[in-house]
Amino acid sequence: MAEIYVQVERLRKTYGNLAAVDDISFAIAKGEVFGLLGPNGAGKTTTLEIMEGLRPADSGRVTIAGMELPGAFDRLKQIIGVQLQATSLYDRIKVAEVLELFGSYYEHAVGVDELLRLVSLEEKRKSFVKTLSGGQLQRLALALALVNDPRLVFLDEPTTGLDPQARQNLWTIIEKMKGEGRTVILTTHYMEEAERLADRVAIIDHGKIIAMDTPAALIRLLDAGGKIICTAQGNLPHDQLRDVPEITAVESENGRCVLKVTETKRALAALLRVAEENAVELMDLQVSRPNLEDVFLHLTGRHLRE
Amino acid sequence: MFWSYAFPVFLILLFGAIFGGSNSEPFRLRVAVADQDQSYFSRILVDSALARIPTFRLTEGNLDSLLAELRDGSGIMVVEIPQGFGEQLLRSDARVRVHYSEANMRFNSTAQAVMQVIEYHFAQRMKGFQPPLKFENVMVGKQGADWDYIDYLLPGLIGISVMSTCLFSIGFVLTSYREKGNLKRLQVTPLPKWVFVSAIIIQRYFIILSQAVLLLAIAVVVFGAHINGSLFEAWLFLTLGMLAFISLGFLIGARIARAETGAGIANVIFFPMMFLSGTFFPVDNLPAFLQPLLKILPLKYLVEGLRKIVVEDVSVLSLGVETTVLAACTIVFFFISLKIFRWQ
Repeated sequence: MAEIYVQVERLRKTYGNLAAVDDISFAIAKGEVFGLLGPNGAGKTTTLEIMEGLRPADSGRVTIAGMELPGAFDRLKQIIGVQLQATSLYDRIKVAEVLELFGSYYEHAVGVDELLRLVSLEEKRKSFVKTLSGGQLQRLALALALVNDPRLVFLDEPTTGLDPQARQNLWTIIEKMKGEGRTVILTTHYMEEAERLADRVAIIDHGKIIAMDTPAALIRLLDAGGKIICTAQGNLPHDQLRDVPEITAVESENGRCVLKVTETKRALAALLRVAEENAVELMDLQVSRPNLEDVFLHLTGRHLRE
Repeated sequence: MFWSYAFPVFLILLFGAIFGGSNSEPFRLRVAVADQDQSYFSRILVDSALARIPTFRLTEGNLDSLLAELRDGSGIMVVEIPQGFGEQLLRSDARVRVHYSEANMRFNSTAQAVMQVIEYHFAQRMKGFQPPLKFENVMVGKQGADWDYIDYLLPGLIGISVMSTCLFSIGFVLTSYREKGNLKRLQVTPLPKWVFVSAIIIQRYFIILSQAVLLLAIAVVVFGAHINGSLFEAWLFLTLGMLAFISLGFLIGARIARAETGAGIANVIFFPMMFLSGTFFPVDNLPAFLQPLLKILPLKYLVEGLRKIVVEDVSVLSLGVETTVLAACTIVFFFISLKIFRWQ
């Protein structure tokens, strides 16, 4: 691993009998995008808020850029950028004004024009904050998180509640942040988001990290590879398919044929050959590769958004 | 539930006690009589008329000492029956002087009503023989008789605007910022707490000051209020009062995380103080059981102090009680709020 920028060791935080954060440790390299993936209430936000200095931990250690929390919090605030899960701003303030205002809190601040361009809000610079749509407000929150040109950016569920297009916009901006060499920690309960943005992902459930690796490696954790689903017009001999080494299981589901495969390309070729030999026509052919949702299901027996 | 039921019930009980009166302790106006004449007719006026007016609580005494009481603010009204009253009555030229104090009785209408009551009861006693009584009003106080209800009202209204801005636009607004998370967002920036607090104090200070100037201007230009004292001293004293109420606002907004609770507490403090601090009417005549409560209301000290400076031309330096109370409120409220303040 490259130079370690953030180190979290044996972090613990309990509320009454509930261990919100239960012995969590991880390290993040400089320039890495690190994702905390888990269902609501898993302890993602609590972990983040401890790292942001918003709450004290019961025990454990957080070190950022060689400085240990909470003692170094005043110095750290200059180099971190934070987007909270919900950003509330004054009602009667304009977009450019709020950027200028927050910029004034820091020793170094990025220009308002540059921030507006970055989050594509140039046309809204004179609009009142309360007139912005959900996606626009979230982009403004991102711009606020970048107002001090931070080295480390915390994003707490940046796209929750947004429509797909607004989500795509936000992903583009976060990818830009990564391109600028910032270290990013983001929480999400959208696995597509974690897969697309994060270099590494820690899957959190009930306050514990249950798996941590690159998205690809996590997916490889699953014994079963992908799935091929099709509807056969005619009698597709299952025995013949089971003989193919890359096909591990053949099942019928709602009149459709579901193949579990270890290697999609070869399995697909075999399937097509068997179909042709038996003069069976294949309809609605679908190939699905496993994703982090499946990994979560596999590890916990539950779906992410249950 | 509390705001919907308990608070309105509390208000009606409070105002019922003030204005409705109760059987156990009917509202009675304190009236002092100085009978300088001691004639047959003057005694009729005192014993048979004044003493039997049920809404009066009559005391009799020496004119000079009664007037002294009036000046120091402990008396309310002195009815002087001058020497020669009896003889003048027979010549249909009898005069009664009603002295009332700037400090306590500013209502011309009340004074007029009192005179009518006296006249009516006297006429009843005199059985058909109705010599006209003439009343002379004498205002007791440094500025003589030259002032109106608006002069009484102006310091009260300024006090109310100070209080409402501080309770709602500091206390309530802070609780609402906390509830919505505005303060949490500030907490992750390097903005120091004292800068945030100072910014609020300075901004609200100028808002309140401009409100006071506006009220003053309207009172003088539209209603012809009299400014008898030093405006500079009034400003000094008002600044102290504002600091006390700004601190009170911070105290309310220091920790509460629900805007609804913040608004409720601000209202609980606001309404009793608005009516019980001598803002619209003197409170010395309110029932005795309320008097201890009245003494702990900071607004009373702000309004009375301001009134003494503006209307009675009292120097701010001689307002020891008022300045001490307000300074103590400022210090106590401010330090408690700093101690218990939470961003989240």
